[in-house]
Amino acid sequence: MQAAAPTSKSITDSIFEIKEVSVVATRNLTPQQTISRVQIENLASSSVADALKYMSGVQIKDYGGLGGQKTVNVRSLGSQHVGIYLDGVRITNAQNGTVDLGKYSLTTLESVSLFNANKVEQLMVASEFASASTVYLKTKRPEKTSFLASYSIGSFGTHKLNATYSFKKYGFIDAAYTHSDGDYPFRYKTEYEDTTGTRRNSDIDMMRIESCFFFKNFEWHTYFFNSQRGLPGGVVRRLSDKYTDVGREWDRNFFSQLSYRNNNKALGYRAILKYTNDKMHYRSDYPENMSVHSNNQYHQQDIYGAAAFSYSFKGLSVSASSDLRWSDLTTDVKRFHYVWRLDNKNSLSAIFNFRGFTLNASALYTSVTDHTHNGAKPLDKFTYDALASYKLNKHFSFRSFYKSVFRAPTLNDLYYTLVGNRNLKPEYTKQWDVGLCYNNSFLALQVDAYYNKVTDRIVCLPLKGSFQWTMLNYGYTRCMGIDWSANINYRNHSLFLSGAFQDDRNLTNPDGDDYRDYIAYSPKWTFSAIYSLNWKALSGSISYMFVDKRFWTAENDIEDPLNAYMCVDAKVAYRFWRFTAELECQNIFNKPYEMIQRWPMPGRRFMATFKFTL
Amino acid sequence: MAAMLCCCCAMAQSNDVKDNLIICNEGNWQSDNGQLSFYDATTGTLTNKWFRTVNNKKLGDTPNDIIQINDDLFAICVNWSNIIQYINRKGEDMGATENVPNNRRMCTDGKYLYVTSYAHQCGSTTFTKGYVAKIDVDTKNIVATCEVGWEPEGIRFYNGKLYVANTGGYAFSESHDYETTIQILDAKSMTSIKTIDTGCINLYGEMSQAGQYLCINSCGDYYEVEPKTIIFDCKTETCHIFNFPCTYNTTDGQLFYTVGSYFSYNTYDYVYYINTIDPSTMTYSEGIYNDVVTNEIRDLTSPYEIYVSPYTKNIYFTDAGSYASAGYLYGYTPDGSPVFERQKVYINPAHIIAFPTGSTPTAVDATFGNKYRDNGITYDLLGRPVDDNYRGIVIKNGKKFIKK
Repeated sequence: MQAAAPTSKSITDSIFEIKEVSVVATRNLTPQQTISRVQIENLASSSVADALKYMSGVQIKDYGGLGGQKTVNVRSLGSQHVGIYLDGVRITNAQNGTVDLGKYSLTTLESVSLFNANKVEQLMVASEFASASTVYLKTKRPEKTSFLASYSIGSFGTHKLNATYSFKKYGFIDAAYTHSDGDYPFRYKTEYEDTTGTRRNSDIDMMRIESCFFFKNFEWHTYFFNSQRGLPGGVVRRLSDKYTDVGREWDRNFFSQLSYRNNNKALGYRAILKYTNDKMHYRSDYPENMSVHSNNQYHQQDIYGAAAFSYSFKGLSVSASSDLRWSDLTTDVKRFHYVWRLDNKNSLSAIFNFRGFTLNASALYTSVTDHTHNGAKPLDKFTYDALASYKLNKHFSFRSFYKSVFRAPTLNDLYYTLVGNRNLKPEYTKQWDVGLCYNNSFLALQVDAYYNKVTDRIVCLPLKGSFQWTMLNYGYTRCMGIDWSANINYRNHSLFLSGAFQDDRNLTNPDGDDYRDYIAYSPKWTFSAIYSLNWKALSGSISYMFVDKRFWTAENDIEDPLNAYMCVDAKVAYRFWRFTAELECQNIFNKPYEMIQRWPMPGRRFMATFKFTL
Repeated sequence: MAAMLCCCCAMAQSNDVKDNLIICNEGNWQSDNGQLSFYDATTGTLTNKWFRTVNNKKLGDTPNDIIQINDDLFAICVNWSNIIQYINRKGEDMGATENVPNNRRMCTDGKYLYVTSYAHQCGSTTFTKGYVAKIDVDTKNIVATCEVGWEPEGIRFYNGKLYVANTGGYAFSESHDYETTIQILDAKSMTSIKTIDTGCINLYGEMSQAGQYLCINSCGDYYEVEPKTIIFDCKTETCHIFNFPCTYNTTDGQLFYTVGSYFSYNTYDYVYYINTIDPSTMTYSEGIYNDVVTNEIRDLTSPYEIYVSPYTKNIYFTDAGSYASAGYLYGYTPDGSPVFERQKVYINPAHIIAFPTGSTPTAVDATFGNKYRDNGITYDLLGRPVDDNYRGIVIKNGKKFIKK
């Protein structure tokens, strides 16, 4: 995992072989953490969320099991402020604004990077400026022609099949199928209870087919995902297993994106076209279900087009971009009217280099209009960010940034039956950051201190004197903290360390008993370490993660916090001829923990994988 | 019944009866943090996490209703835990009934407990719509069930009959419409006698009873259909409709005290109402008790329960605040002086029930004997003293009869 974009040729270790398209001038301008292909292969994990959880400042929200929804929250700004970009194109969900990272596989990726604020380079499209934190998933471009097939078997009835055909330099087709019963045991033991049980209705079946083709400056990526999963509820007091709540969800996601990029000359061009078609089906109308019997379909489409131009002259580079997104939502939910949204973004950005200084300033204009029965008023906003860095010598550099950006209310926030409120204002984030980087031949270190605040938080609350809940702009929170990470490489050893301190407080209501209390689920301290070794045909890693206690009630002192936890995972792989055998164990010490109160995470689990390469 | 009577006698004897209060806090759904708070009027102290501390176990998820069955037994609908939990005055676990999942509200005749449920299953019996279960208080077992409308909520017992408010509250998602009916069941045979169409939809919320009168809230649909208050006369089986909601309501045995909001998703505006209804004249007046109480209720961030004690006529109400931090309990005497400083309880304090100080349920026979049996005071079936205006089954000088 790298602390900074590796553009220096002096490092020849295979771990650093990332073909990032980045401009030297923008190095270290914004805090960045990257996990590379080699590290991905060494980790005992399979989803993008598993890789991100080791990065400093990241909190994963995970409801447990392979089927549990996994979202990422960076520096406590909230998951809807994290933009997930696949090869520079944002993955969106107009309905609820969150992306389930469990749907995206690591197998096709070259790297996973996290940028606070946004990435800074030439030819960014306008949408890349539009989130408070950005995660970049970079697709792997095959270096040789090969066929790979693998089968994994693991605890709790988990089976995975994966096949990839790669054609040298030109692309690949990847297909995967996963099944998990997800019936893991759990236990709650406190002075008030000793509950043991097995997670029910936590199964998942998912299938993914993905292809990506590269030709000259074109890249064409197509993705298809289909899944069926159970949605288990929180573990609450019950006398027996007799009555339960049962919900199931079917997801079908498709997108195809074509992008073109040319920035070899002073004048650069970039263009993107993308079509997305997502279907979600939720059902709870089973006889055994004790609560609402629902059966609803949601269908979203999204057409996205973007163009960017840049011009570089000596130390100055200027980029301009415009993009347009049309999305719609059709559902059979009662009283929900068909809605389509036009989202237009325009950006202007300049990067200026002078001696050791690099400066970047960007302006973003966003315009959102909804077309539906009784739609919300159009939204027009300007937002800005500014970043600066100074390179003192070949080892040290300093940086600082300010960014203000908002998230528009989602279609659910505005229009969902018996909840939506079309008078909502956007939810704003403002971030300030100062940082220091140190690099030498075997160590990359970065430390950043930040202060951020979120205003006009969009939350769901019941109205005074009524049973009815509705979406409201209510809340003001601020978070300050320190993120640090170190990447140490020595011969075939690599050690990644990261940690964070954060102080995330609720400043909504000075008269409230929760005023200045810690925000629920924000730990004060986190720490993680990954050691990996590549030795002849053997490779392996041990990863360690510590998360401090977390309060789960808005008013902290009325309940005991969730216990701090540590989780240790390990993986070893051995290669012989065309085969690779891998063995991994997650949560080796079988520590019970939860990320969401009453949603227990699985204990110790194993997985064995056999790979065949042709 | 003897034990009940003796208890009330002791209470009636004392001139300065105070209210011990049990507050049922819903907590947050699926967080398994439903809790009881107990206000001890003798010592003037409030204990949170009462059930948990007394029994060393959790109450469960989203306790939805609490009622008193007899002198020393209370029942709590723990909705999302699918159980009915029983406790005594000390908060001790007195057993639980499991087979009424998604239970909502209760009433009792002292011998049986009647519970509404939104679910379609009770043990091995299944229903198309919702149902009412009859539970024998001695055995805690279900002895009979009766199917009613979709999502039945409030339930009251009057003169051998049960009055059930059907809501159809899941209409936003399920294929049926909102219900508009009050369903009348014969409590003994647990059969449906008839349904009365009120003309108002979604009869959801608290349901108070003052003798023959029931106060029922109609939520409307939060779009075009406005909320209403229905006063139902069990004797004549007729409705009187008021054009304001009574989301939260209570009674002192004669008048209904109501708090509610009229909200519409078409306008996003709401109007907040605080009213007192006199069912004997079918008239209403603004405010509750006096300006002190009315203004205090008006100033609450999120009113979540109002309750008038039958023993002292004191009014108690709660503020749920942000619904995520601990709520507060307020208490006022009828003349507007505070019973106590506002008390911090727990998340979403949704129900209050009082029982009087000055009596201990243990050794009742030995302490009180029969001398209070012939004191001439009239009691209702819960052993609460009632005045001459009370209509229904009453007990006087140890004999049960119907007062019309």
